Amino acid sequence: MIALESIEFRYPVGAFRLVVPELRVERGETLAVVGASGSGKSTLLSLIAGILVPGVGTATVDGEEVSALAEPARRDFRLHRLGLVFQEFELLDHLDVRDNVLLPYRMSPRLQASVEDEQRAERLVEEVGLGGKWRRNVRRLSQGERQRVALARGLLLDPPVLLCDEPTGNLDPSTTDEVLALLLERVKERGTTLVVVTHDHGLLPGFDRVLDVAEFQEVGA
Amino acid sequence: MKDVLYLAWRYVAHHRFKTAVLVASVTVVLALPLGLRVLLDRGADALTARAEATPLLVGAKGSPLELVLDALYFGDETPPDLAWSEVDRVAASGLATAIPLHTRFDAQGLPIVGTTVEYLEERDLVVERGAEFAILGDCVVGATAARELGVDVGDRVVSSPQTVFDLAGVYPLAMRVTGVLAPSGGPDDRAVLCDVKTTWVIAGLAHGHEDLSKPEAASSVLSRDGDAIVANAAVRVYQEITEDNIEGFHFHGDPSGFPVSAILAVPVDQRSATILEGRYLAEDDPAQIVRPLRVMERLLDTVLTVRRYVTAAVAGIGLATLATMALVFLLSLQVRRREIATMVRLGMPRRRLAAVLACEVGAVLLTGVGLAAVVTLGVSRLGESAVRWIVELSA
Repeated sequence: MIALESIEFRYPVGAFRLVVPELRVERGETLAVVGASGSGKSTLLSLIAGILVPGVGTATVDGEEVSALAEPARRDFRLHRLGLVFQEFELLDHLDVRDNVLLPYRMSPRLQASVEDEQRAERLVEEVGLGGKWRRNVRRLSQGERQRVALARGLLLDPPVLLCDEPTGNLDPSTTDEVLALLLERVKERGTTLVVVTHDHGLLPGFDRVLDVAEFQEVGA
Repeated sequence: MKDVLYLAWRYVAHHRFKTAVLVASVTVVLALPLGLRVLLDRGADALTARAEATPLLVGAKGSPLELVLDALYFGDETPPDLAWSEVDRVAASGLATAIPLHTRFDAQGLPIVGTTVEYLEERDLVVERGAEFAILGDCVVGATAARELGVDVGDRVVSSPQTVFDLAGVYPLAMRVTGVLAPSGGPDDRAVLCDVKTTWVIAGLAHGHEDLSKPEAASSVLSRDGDAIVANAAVRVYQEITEDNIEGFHFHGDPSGFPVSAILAVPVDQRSATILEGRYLAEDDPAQIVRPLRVMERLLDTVLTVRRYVTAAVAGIGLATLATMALVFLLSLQVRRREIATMVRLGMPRRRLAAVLACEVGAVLLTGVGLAAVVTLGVSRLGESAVRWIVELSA
């Protein structure tokens, strides 16, 4: 499902270098990526998502060699075939829960949300525990609720791969547990491949596999 | 496209205050010069049309502009009076028809214009209801005047007293409305038109009172010496001219010296007009003759010069405002950098993102342009009142 081969990446400025000889994540597998701050966890996720492009090597996701795609095609790939959840939630504050969850439809020139799609999105919002808050502006939600909205948005198009960058980084411990449990439950139900970047080692037991990016840096050092 | 518009709409609707300020800026920047232009154009048209329809105007020596504004637009300030003999002078020349105008008085702020029935014909005024004024004390009212005074045929219009402290001065006279004019779109709509002699009655140059030769008026008589009767203050002076008392009205003094404000001189032909103009060239002539169109064109030249300055100033302010707005939009993009980055990371196509931002700006600009159009339309509709105000201010 996800295959990184002989990846080498460095930012235009600075000495940071990430080298990934090989990384494979199977369909339906849940992978936690850990490592110290600045070790390249988010960079690895961005390489998988096609937000960044490696200087050397290939990144293939769901059968598509993302690293070989042009920028518009990579955007299209992210929008239609990946689910993305970020640490800062990345919601649009001027929209309500409904519009934030339906954002992939609004952003896509190819998709048009039908009444059924809206009903499905509303059910999803209820499933993540936000029943009754469908038309509430996201600025009026708590941090945990905002992250649930982001999670619902990531799952809306039923993507084969869900990438989460520190999804519980801004949540208190009890909310963290709730959100993580919800996340794992949803991806297991749907057979979604999940890659989660986290620095919280308490979360790791829930995942099929744990990857420490330090090993890539060691290889590349 | 629907989703693009929706996202743009959600953004501008959420940021209502910012949007309102930007829309108001666009509206002001556009409506000010446009409205000013429309206003001045309409004003120029109105002034010119009235002046074009008035070939020659005779008045007392003084400001030609004041004379024209008073005779054509019945402004608040009146030029010096002219003697009735000047009316005879124009008529006797055989070069033009002389139509007197006496515009000294008003009824609740609406001008009372003393003239002759020829005035109605000259101005193409049509009596919509009733009939023209025929005898002393009759009047016809313009369409607007009828509405503002709340009068119709058969009602009374009372002239306003000029000063309550002048016991020997002008007393209110109740005039009978014999007709209401159809709207003409000009100053006549707001006027009360009557025979010039009726205005002389208002001026106190003619009056009516009980017949002192009759026995029942004996208590008002102080002494008799042949035809000369001296009455005391108890004599009953009529405040209204009726069929019963009209015979009791009479003039005191020489009518040739009675006042008029101006004379509309309608020349027989162009040659007659030129000859008539030549007869008023003498320095010591108490009267002057003017071509209203020339006077108004001089005024319009001044107005157009002012318009050029104002337009230039507004254009400068407009450019500065537009530059500020551009800066606001750019700063807004800076503030929204994170939001835009989110949409990029989620995979929104660059063109679609640009379309959303463009629609947001477009919505503000279009709303501003729309409002400016509404304001300009409003100015053009209310232009007549505004122009009248400006003209009165100028006078």
